[in-house]
Amino acid sequence: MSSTEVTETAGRPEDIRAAPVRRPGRWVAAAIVLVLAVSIVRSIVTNPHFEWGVVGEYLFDERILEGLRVTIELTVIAMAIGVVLGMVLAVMRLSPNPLVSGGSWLYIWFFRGTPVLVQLLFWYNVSALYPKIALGIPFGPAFVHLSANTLITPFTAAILGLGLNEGAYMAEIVRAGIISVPEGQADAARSLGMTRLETMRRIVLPQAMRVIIPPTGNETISMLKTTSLVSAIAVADLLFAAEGIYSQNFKTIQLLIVASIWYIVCTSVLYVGQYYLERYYGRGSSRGGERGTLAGRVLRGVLSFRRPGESARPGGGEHR
Amino acid sequence: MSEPMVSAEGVHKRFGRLEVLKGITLRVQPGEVMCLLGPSGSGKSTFLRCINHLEKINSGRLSVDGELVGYRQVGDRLHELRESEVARKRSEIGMVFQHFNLFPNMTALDNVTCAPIRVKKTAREEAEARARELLARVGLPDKLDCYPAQLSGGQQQRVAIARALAMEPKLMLFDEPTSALDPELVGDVLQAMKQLAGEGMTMIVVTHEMGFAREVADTVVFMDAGVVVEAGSPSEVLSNPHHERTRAFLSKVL
Repeated sequence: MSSTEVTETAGRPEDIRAAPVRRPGRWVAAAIVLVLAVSIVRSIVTNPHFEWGVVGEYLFDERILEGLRVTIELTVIAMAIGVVLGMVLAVMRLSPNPLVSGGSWLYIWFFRGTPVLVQLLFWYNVSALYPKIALGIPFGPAFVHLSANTLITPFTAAILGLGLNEGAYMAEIVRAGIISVPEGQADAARSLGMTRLETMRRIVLPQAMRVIIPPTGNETISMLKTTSLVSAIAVADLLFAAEGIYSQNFKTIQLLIVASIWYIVCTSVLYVGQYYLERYYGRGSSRGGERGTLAGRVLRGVLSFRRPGESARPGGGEHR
Repeated sequence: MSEPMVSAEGVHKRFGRLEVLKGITLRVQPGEVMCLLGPSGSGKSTFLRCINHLEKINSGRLSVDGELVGYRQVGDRLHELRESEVARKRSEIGMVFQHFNLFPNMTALDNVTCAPIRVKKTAREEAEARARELLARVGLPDKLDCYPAQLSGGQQQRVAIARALAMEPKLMLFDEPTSALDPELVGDVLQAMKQLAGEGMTMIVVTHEMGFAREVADTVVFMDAGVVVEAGSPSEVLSNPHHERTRAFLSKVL
């Protein structure tokens, strides 16, 4: 009988059922983690100094909720400015015109090179530098004169500081996304008669999104927390509201817990949003083509821990 | 004799100090199929990319359908064309790439309808009907909703041919369309190209498929080191080459 002969087996071959390798180390590690977790939770629940009643009392306090609204508003506006500015700066950075790409480089260098808190304080105090802001023809007559003090409120200073800073970081993220798209894509689009701008908008940017979205999600989550810096320039955000309350009742820890709970609730919501965005822009790529809901994926992950022989991502890479 | 579809006279192209094309002169008549052969680095692909102005030529004259590529002649001065004018001219020339370059985030159908809808402003229903017809013609009537990653190389390249045809080009450029394919899949792509040639499309094909060149080409051009070494009918160039360089190349590939 030749070794290359193909034999037909009747029906489906049986799956291998082997006794798994014993892993005592895993059990020891799991036990340590469990003991630690239980003792931490026990101490948090039983330590009377946490005063969970106070936390519950202030969780839905009107001032806290108003602060939360300002925090979310700041995050949304600053990120919107950051993303749009980042796209413009990234496209400028890739321009063949050295003045345009140099200007973009200079912007990114400056805004990434100085702390965002310093930038916030700078915008807050900009009226000392430019008491009047005029709109008009450069070096020519001006049509509108505005007082910087009325124009730059703490809120606009916060938006400017956070948004302009974010633009520099987003520019690098978008640029990384754009150069991750193979040049052949632009060749193909241009050979079909699309202009440079159409090619960028219709072909390159949508593909770059797959690379851009995950770090942008990071940036948004980071921004949500960075907005807490604006309490330094008297914008009534979530942290500022908590500070205002504990400066009167001295329940410092409890109000910081209240603020933290809201921050973590918001970032959790952003996690879910990021998952669905990534799935949308991952269309057509085998690694991004995972189907099913977020909950389903988490459930599969948990179940796969119980069956260590199987892949943790049974849905990964499957084709329709 | 009718006006040539493509006419090149002394076309030079440099990348920095590297001279890739050193004076290419050739003509392609409407309905003609021309195969460009030659060793890698001989400038075949670069010449193809010059024809639809993906690369700018440094000197010489290159025109498609009687109009200069990338320039307008006013008196004896050349004016560069605006971006939108270049794009409009490119839209009349189809190009098929070695690595397919399908848009991976679009289905086969969207790949084919994308340019007609965006560039030609064709109505979606009309573009889709035409795309279905084209995909059926290249033998993929049941792959409309597949993403490129779900198709074999040969299927992807046939979608790419359909995508180029959707713009109703007057000239098709093929840049080594079968070089990235498994030998088994080459036949389907060549079949689609042969069919296209049979319908009277003007085609310039950079290829290493000698069988295709012999069977389908009207003219075979052998290029080496940026110049045309030899040009003529397939039987002349492939079976009875005059130049030593052509003979040496053919003895290796045949």
